[in-house]
Amino acid sequence: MSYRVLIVDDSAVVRHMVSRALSISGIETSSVLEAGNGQEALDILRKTWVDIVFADINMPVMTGAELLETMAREGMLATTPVVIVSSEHGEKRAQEMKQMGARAYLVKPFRPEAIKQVCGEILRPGKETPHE
Amino acid sequence: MSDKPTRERLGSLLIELLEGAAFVFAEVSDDKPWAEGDLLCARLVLEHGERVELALCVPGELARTLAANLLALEPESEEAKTSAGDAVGELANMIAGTLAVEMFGADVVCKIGVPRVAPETGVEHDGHFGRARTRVSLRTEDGHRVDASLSDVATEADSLP
Repeated sequence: MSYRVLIVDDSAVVRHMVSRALSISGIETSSVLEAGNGQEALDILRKTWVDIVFADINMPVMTGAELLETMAREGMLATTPVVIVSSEHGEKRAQEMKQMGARAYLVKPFRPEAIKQVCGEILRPGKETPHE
Repeated sequence: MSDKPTRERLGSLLIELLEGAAFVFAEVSDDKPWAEGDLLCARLVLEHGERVELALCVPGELARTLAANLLALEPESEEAKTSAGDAVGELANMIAGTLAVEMFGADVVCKIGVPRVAPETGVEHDGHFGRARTRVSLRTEDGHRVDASLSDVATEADSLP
């Protein structure tokens, strides 16, 4: 099974790091899409099915929190799992993001094992609809 | 009021991050004036009641190495060159994430700004660095200097009569 992944971060370096971590951790991807902020991510999500989204919080134009709020309001997008990838360590921030709909919260810098664990928990066979 | 990180804590945090995220090994060094050269400095503001600016400055050559190591590329590659500023900004962002919790606590949401990365001359940098509230210099095993500093930034409330 392979998955279609969307990585949302204003830093190209972080997008590359997440993509590489996915590859190292053995997660099979049919495509890895990238967006520089929440608005660009929404534009992609409204046109394309994505199995999982990795999103930063602090981004220009539209933050990760605003992306979560908007996705929750849009029926089809509300079920797409979002993993927040942030440098913010605060427990309160992590709880806040989960209350807004994030399925997991990863702190940067992270190890590929962390991505693998999160994907394993969220993308269990039968839980989502992966692209063959 | 926040718990102000000490020079030692800022230094140890930076050493851990450089080592863990970018495979660059460094130790605390004296903060003598910079020799002229191209520096890349990332600055961002942490805000929770008070505003503190974090600055991270490295020579351009080291910035390219940091980008290459973060991305698993050759330092001479074009992508490492174009990603150098982004890499310094992201490392500053990671330091800010840890500092925010240490300064303001894990049970509050601290606003962390988007890093602004720009080239600076050694003289420009020394001016900022010398006025910082907390500052630390590291020297990498390749001899490159890395500076991190924290400076108080005036809030709107400070400017009210």
